Amino acid sequence: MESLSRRSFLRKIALAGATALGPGIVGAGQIYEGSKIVEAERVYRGGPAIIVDGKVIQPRREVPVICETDVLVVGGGCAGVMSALAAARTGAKVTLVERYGCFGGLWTAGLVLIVLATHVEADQGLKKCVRGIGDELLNRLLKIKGGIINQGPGMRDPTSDPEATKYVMAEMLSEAGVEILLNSWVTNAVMEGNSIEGILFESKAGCHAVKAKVVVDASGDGDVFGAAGAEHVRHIHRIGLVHRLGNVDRIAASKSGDKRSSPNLSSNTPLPSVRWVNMQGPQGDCLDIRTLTQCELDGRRAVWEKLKNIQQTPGREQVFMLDTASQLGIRASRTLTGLHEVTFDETMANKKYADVVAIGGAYAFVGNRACQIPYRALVPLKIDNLLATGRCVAADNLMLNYTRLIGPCLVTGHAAGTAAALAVDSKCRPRDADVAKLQRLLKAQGAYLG
Amino acid sequence: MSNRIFAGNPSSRRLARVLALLAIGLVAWLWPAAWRYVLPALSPHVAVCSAVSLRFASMLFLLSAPMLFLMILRHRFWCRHLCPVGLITETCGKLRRGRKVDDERHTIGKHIRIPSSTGRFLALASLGGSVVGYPLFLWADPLALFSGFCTFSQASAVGLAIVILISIASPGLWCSRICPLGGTQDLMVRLARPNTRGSRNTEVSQRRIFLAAALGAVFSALIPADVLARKRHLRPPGTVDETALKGGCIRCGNCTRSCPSGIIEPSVDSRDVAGFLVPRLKFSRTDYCLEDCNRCGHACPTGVIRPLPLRDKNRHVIGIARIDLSECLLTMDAECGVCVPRCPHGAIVEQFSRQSYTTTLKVIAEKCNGCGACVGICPTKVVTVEAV
Repeated sequence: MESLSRRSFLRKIALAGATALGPGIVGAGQIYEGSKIVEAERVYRGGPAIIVDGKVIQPRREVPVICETDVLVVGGGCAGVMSALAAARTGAKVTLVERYGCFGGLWTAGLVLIVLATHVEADQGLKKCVRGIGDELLNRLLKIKGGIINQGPGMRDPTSDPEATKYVMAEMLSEAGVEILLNSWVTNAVMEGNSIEGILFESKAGCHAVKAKVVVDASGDGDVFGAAGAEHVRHIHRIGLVHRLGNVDRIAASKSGDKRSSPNLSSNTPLPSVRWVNMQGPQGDCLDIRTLTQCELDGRRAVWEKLKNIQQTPGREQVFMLDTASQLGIRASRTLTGLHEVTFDETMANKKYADVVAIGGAYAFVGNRACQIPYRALVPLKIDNLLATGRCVAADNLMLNYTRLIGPCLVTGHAAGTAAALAVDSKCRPRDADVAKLQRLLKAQGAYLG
Repeated sequence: MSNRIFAGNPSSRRLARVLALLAIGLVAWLWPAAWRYVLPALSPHVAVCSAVSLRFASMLFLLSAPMLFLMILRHRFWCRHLCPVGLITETCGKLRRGRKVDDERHTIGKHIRIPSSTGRFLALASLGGSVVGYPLFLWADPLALFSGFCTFSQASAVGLAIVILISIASPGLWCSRICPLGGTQDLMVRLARPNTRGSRNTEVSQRRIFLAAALGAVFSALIPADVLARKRHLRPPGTVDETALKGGCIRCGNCTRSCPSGIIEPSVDSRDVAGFLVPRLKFSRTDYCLEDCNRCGHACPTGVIRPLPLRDKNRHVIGIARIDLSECLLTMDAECGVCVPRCPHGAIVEQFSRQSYTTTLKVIAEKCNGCGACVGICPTKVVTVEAV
């Protein structure tokens, strides 16, 4: 770009724009529908990218706004679904944009089936921390045969079936009247000064925009606040690939050898013959496409190698590969630099926050401790009209291993959705939202705030 | 003798006490942490023996200088008016007022007679021992005993409890005959002002002085390096070697009280008899040796925990972390690995094997100083710090 003077660059851009206006409606035109030829929907790309001085230049063009909404939730994982449901139930008009064709994200597409950190041990047995909409979802799964195990009184950290979870999430979203956009990959933020006004997403139909009063970033990777220029922290973490094995009930126990040397068959699922197998995987930058590609290829190969070992073990010949996850097990990529960071030291000190909006249950390294997450951990330092939720909330590099669990994601998702709807309702920025009112709303929606 | 020590004009004594209390209050007000550190450092007995023993004098050494002058100028003034142990023993002695007591008998029970030179002998033996690096009876310094009691741990109160029992059994015995700090004063007065009243009362021949010190030195030299030590404990960062630590530590508890993490505790272990009440480290779930703290070294009145600058303290190796991989969650493909971000020194790394596609953990010995941060966070308790 240095060799190009500013004027000539602008001229070339204008030229590119002019050429783009012609074929800007590429793909638009006529289409066969059965035997009829009808007018087709446009594919909005603004024309193809062009080469200017050997560099690939995107066409500069107006992006059509596909919808305008109160609360836009980016990402249909557990936190995103909770946010969308919470915002819709609080009374906002909600749009949910999801890159896959199903809901649940890492929970379902990633096959991380266990909902960790739901309870703490109290004097009188277990005390439930994940309540509200998250608990409602788990209880609805309980009504489905083979939907969930370890859910209900006296049980904790349930494991759900991915297909049942996808189904129930979609049902709940439809019931709440959330506008859903599937197969839509959010690529950029639409900014006006420090304030986010919407997002751009790519789909088969090209690039579209969604305008919103408040955007909830439930992308997990923090794609929205990353694009919006909010301050954040990048992380290198392990990238795994979960898989499920079938016919595990046909293992002849008498024939299988020493338990220690036998391959890891991991955890139970609601399907009696199926187990899901976690993988740690190599450390890597989860935002680097070459890393991700390599992890997919290597991970799948490793899983098949392990299966071969299992099948060669006497008594385990019948075990087969049910599926590998369609989503890599990304543990951490970006975390928000929020108004407050959830830290290990504060958590260990059982710190109570006046603006607590979510409480997660016990988990290995935090011990038997109800961990509070303050509202400020969801609010970016500078960017307005944006809230982060799920595994990209502000947490130090120890506590992100807690906030990324499904249990905490369910509660932070709920909190972010209600907060976004409250901000829309009271016509203020999310950072100025009345936290006391937010807490009252959350409690009314069943959430546990200590 | 005890009468002589606690003699004097009652009103002037009262005045002196009030002034002393005011002075203590003023120091505590200006420097709230003072009570934790200052007391044992005031003793010239501790200061001199420690300095000789370790060939090192910390800044706290200076605190004993005014006390030294006071002790030479006014023989046993300290004991009469200021010593907290003196106050306690005097009070305890009064418990026997109702009964007929021969103050000058100075026996424990009926038959064990304590010679009047015991305190001087203890002080000299410690000094002699410190020449070979093992001050024998430094822990018997009354200020160390009192300070140890202030740690409020049961075991550390043993010393003062024994002194109290002695004082009940035979009032005045401790102060006049056994106390090594008192003995030090007697010796100093004799050396500094040979013709005063105090010195005449504490006749010691040159030969005896030499003999006591030599006895201490020989005995200390003969003591095996680690008496009955079958267990190596983790010590606070910057401690001298085990023998010097066990010999030189006066068990005052300053380090225990100074530690913001509360991980320094007085050791009580039958496998380490010589190390009784010597500080050892015990990590808890959240508490470890903080990378921004070097307080214990600066609180130690003897210098057995050296007052290291922060950077050197962090380089001092307390021990090495060891992870039992057979029970490590991460190695078993379970979700963990929290010790890696927990380590403040980046000494624990994940090791990924492309071959088996599994991850294990490794401690980089060059980076690990044994601070113990990883110990508490491990959910399966398979991380330990081992003494090196």
